[in-house]
Amino acid sequence: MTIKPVQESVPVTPASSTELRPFKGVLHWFEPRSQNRDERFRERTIRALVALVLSVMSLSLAVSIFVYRDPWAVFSFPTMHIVVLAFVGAAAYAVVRGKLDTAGWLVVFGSFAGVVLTHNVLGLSPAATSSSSHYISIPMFMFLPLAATVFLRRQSIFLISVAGVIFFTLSEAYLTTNSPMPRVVDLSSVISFAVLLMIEGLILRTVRYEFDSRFEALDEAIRLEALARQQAEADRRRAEEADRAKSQFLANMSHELRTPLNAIIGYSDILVGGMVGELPPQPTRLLNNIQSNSRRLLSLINDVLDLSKIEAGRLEVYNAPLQPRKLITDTVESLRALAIEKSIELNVSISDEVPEVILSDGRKLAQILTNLVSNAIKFTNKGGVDIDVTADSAHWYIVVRDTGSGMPTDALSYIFEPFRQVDSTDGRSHKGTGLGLAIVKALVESLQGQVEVTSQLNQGATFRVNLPRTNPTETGVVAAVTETNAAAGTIAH
Amino acid sequence: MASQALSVLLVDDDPAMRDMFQMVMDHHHVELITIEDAETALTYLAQNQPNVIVLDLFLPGLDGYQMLRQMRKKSLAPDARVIATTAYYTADTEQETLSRGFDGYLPKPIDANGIVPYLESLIQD
Repeated sequence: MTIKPVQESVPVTPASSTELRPFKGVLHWFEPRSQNRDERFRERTIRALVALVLSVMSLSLAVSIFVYRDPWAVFSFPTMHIVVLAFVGAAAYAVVRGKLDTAGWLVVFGSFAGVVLTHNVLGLSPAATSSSSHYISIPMFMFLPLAATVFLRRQSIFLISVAGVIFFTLSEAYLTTNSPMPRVVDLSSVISFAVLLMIEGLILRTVRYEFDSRFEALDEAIRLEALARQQAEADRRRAEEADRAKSQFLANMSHELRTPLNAIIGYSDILVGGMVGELPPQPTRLLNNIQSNSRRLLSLINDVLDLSKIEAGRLEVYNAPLQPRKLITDTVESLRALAIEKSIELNVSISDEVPEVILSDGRKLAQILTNLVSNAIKFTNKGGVDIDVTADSAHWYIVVRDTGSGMPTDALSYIFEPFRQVDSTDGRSHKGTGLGLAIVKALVESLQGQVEVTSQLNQGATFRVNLPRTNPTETGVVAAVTETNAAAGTIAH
Repeated sequence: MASQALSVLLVDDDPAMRDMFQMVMDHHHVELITIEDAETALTYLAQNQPNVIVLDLFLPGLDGYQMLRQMRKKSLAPDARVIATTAYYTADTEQETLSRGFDGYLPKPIDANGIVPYLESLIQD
């Protein structure tokens, strides 16, 4: 068998790819390279931030130098820009090198430094003319745990909150003693702000943990599902292959067995048929025994092959319009010789409700009937076998009733299992493969029908098959009353 | 009678099958040629026109289906009835052989007493 590789279809939209070509390199920068979901999240935000800050700061630096012509000093706009650019540039370099933690810390440390500087140096500078930088530094401290949430490992979030509290408190202590500005933050504010910052850190850390664990569970579920799918696919493929090998083996074996059987049956036919001269009675009797045993062996081989096909689920149903009356009569007639041999009656009655034409598989019907009727004849020594065919609006029924040895009630449960025969009460062995009824059951089921048996010991047995009644015109299959039907009428082996 | 019109070619690699056919046909005074493989049979058919050809489906070299195709292509023995015989079959084989151009189907083991009447019935119509 050939295993087709699964075609990974990559939908390419040519329009967008050509449109975006000039920006492709730029967009590529924002794509995280990490595999881990948590790392991808941090990497994406760091890459985005770095890109934003580098472009804004570069522009701002250019404006500061060329438009406002700001002087160069230790604390001046241009130098401040250079420091920020250096920090962010270092973070960008770390990201490119795959050092995500370093990049995260650089970004967060830069923010921290910026917040503390804004709060202390600019806010306390003698040159400061307003307290705006002081007021804005409180929300800026609140920003620090947020920055840690998106740029650092989740374990560091709370740590940054604590660091924020410490630096804010130190700044307040310094501010309180040295500021020329009016005192705007008292101790209670410090404490409540510290509590607020800690709570913020805790909440952010909890949220991040929660999301991470949910994503992890989701990833794991997706991975397990894919794995299970692969596993199921592999199992199915293996089973199919084993099945095919088994069928092939049985087909080959049946061929190998039938070839010598062909010679045994053929030569004994020739001898019994007197084609090479008349034989005395004794050898003829022995040859007849050889023949009947060979034919038993043949039917065993055929049954085993049929059953293996059935069990492999390879039983194909070839439905075609057919005439049930003709099929039933022909099949039963082909078995009449068996009944005459045992001097028992064989009666067929087909009621008027049975339609003239139905849609079914003629070969399977013939085999079902052959197996049931020959089985009934086999177990009947006195009386006869009746075949009644009836129908109602939805179903049609084939009932095979015999006056034979019957079977004990407990046998009814296993009579349709392969190789199970009821021990005969008269001590004689009944020749048969023990597969006939198992095949009947499988065939009936393949035709969407049911078969059931009722019997009592020494009271005969009744097999009842019910099949769905499908009229050819109902399904629109009117054509092809041809070969299949003609063949179905004549198949009786 | 019809049996006099019958002239049979059997292509089968099983010696027992050829031997049995010979006995049966001799008994019925039917002309029979047996050949082991498809290539030789095709050469034979270039010169001769049997009216029934019994063809084993599994032959060494060309198999029965291929030989039938070759015959049709070269229009060898175009009027002959070609019958498939095989020991390698399932319930679907008869349908398959008939749908692929054979005129008859003879599963093994063969019925030695029934062959000649069967072959005769095929050339009647």
